[in-house]
Amino acid sequence: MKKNLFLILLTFHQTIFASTVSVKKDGDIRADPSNSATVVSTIKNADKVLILGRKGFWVEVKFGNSKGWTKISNLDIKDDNNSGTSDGLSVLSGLASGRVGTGNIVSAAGTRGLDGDQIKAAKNDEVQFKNLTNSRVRPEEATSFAKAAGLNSRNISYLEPPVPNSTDQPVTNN
Amino acid sequence: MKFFLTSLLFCIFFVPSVGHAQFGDLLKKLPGGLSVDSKEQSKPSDKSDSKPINDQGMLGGLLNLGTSSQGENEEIEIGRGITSTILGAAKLFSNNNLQRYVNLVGQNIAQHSERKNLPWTFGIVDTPSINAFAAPGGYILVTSGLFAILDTEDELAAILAHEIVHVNKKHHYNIIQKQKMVEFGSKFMSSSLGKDDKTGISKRLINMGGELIARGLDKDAEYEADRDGVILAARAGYDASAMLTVLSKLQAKARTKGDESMKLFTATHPTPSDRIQALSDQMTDEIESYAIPSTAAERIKKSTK
Repeated sequence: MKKNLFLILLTFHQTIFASTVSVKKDGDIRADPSNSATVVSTIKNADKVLILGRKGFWVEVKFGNSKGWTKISNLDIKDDNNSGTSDGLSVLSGLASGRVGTGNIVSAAGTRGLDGDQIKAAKNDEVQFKNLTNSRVRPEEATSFAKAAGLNSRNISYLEPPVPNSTDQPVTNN
Repeated sequence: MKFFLTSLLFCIFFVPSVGHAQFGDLLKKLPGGLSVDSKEQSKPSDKSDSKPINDQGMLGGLLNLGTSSQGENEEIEIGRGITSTILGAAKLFSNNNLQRYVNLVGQNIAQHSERKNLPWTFGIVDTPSINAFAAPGGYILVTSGLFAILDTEDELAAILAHEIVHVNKKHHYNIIQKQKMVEFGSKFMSSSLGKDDKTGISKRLINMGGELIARGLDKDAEYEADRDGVILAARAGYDASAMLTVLSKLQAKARTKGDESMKLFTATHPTPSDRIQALSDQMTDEIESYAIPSTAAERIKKSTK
């Protein structure tokens, strides 16, 4: 009974926070988020899949009767032009269900945000700047702090910039 | 002057890149200089960048041209002015442990970049707005509104790494250099630049700030900061996919009706979903293998203690 209730609630949760997106590139749906995992189904351009979760650069999807993982790059997760559905991944952020943040920081600045006008009207605050620089740390301190948490450096090269798409239009801010 | 500085603040999370090598080369050949020593600046204990900032000093920096080292000094000087101005609008979050924490995380990431010796300085400013600012020379501020939606140190690292790339690539500094040289190149090379000339140029520099805002930002700089930022964070041992988590949260916030915290952000930047898509499309199997929570992920929960 309890198990059934849990499954119902889980399904309900996934229904609320799931989102349907289009497939933009043919690809596989695998049993696990790994290139070596078993292929359980395939998806083709323009197919619709239901997003259920994300792990790294993989997304858990439901397609027909199949359920599994595919790479985000196979999907078009951009805003689907006011169709009423949420952006593919925003539903997975946790914000949709109010579950984000550690709760260890509460602003004392009230509700008004920092906008352009405030910045334009601002005067240099040298005391604040001094306080800022007082919190600066030495590289050795930072390295020790990283090692204390078990962080290890990796030797990774930068990615090559993508080849420009001739159909791309420049972005302008209005 | 103030307006000019404020315009640069809109490089938030994502500043445009207008790199023009020819101007950089020209700068290296021209005489002039500033008073700040970049090597000294690299020492955290050094207080030379804590000296009073005034418009004359800042304009002096903007109007000087010099060698490569002097160019870096100018970059730092401009960054000081911009940062001080932001702090005039939003004070530091009142928690020394938190400020130290963000410096420890940020400095470690910066040490995995090409410009280790900048006076890297990080801070949390107290405002509910969701944003982050990168100023030339290594000054990076994150709003408490943004920090509040983070759940892991990996996510903080992703943001700081993105901002570090903006600094390292000189995304905003290059805009200053380009516009200054385009409009005043010949005058700057004149040794007979008088006080009135400097005043006139300074006024024009102020107007440039407004033009920068009106013209909008170059999305390529943001995508570059995303792309290289993922690598920097992963080099430091963090989850290579944490930026996707952050961007997913930003996308959700941006779509929340009545939520004003991302108003400026959404008006001036590529959508988070576009950035997620671009980032995902460029991932390699190697990078994806680093898309796992780091061993430091949970440390953020103790950051204020």
